Amino acid sequence: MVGNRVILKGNPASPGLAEGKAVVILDPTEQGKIIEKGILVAPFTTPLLLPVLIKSAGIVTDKGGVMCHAAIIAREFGIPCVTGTEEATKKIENGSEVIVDGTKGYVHQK
Amino acid sequence: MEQKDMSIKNEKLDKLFLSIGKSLSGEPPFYIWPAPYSSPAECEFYLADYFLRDFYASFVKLEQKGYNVENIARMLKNPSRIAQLLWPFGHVVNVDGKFKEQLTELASLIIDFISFYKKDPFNQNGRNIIWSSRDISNYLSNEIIESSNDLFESYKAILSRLEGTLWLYSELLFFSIHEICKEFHGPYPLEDGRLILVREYYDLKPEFWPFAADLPYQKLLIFEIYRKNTKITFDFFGRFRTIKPLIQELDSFSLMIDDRTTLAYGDVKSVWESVSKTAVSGAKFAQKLSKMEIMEKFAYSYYYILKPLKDALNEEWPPSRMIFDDMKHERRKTIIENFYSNFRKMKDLPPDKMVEIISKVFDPRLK
Repeated sequence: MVGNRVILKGNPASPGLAEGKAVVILDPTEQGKIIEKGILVAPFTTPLLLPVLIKSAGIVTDKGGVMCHAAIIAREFGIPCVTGTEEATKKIENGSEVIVDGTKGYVHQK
Repeated sequence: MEQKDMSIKNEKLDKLFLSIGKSLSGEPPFYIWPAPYSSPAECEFYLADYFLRDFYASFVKLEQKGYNVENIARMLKNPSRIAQLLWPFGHVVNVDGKFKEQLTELASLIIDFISFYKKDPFNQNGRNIIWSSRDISNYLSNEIIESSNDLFESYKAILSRLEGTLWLYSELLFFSIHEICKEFHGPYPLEDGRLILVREYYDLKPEFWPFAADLPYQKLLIFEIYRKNTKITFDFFGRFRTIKPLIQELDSFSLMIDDRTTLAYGDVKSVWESVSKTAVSGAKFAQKLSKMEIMEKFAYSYYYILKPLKDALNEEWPPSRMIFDDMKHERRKTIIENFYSNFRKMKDLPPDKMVEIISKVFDPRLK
């Protein structure tokens, strides 16, 4: 990951590394475009995001800690997750390439 | 004698509310489905009084019809489902003298119900032990997919997808009380230090969600063996907690669909595909509902626990329309706002103090 700028720091909620296109969803009651192995970026997660979540390779949220919904779900799916970044939905552009480091709690711009 | 009974009962209730306090301390009740429409606490404030009065009345009527405590406990199906009956105790509002006594009796009964299923109704040591050693031995004698299997990594990949999707699906159906449809239990230690976790999904097609009828399975059981020292704990409500993805520690597993063991990779994949299909259509269905409709579904989740009791009484099981009317007119708005304001103030308190406060909020003896 040398050369990939850290753009956000949050809680390391589910370990591992994942990279992919960001799927930014501001309102969980609306579905974003589903991208196979995308990185879901949302204020928080709910089962309404199920169609996107089951295709995601990683999760980044604005809210929550290591026991929040996104964290629990990510661990069940076995995918990396960073929670509580406060501004992921503001800083990450939809469709941009990002790397989620769920072990350290960092999000990198690729 | 009566005084001794009372003292035993109080000791039991003290343990119960302490277990609840420990389970909930440090856990902010925000951003939990039905968020963003509402919150579990908001919905529970609307239904708690009606629900608990209804539950008590059903219990009394069943006793009058000759059902004993064990009969009623068995009708309620599983211990973690029964434990969910305690949530409304934290949100009950109008507690007069008689209702206070009834609530205290109900709380004590709920522990008795759970005790028919397991020795430790409080999961005090972080374990949810339901199966006997004989049950475990019986299950171990069945065929199982082991890590030496050439396809084990592929199995793990599909199993983690299945488990994640099932989790989301059960939440979609039953909101924050999704233990209504599932009982995860264990960890059961093996002699070599490995740990068994059993994930039983036993009620995946509740009639109040139309899309659920499309799921081809009523029950799924995933029997899993994890490596030594894997951290798995349970709280009082039967919710299991881990600190990292359990799939990384998986050593072997088997899958049972409606009492039939399925081991072929293609079959496991096909189960995941079926669950995903129903779950995705369910999420799309739920997205079209209004806030009121979602809150009504939340109330249905609770009343669904009482359905077997209502069926035995030949009564209608769905929630009272009065709950929906209160929701519609936001008759608990101020109470809910005060609740959240008080909860936010608690976030900097030491853990012991938090446990004490939450225990008191749930305890009807102190209302």
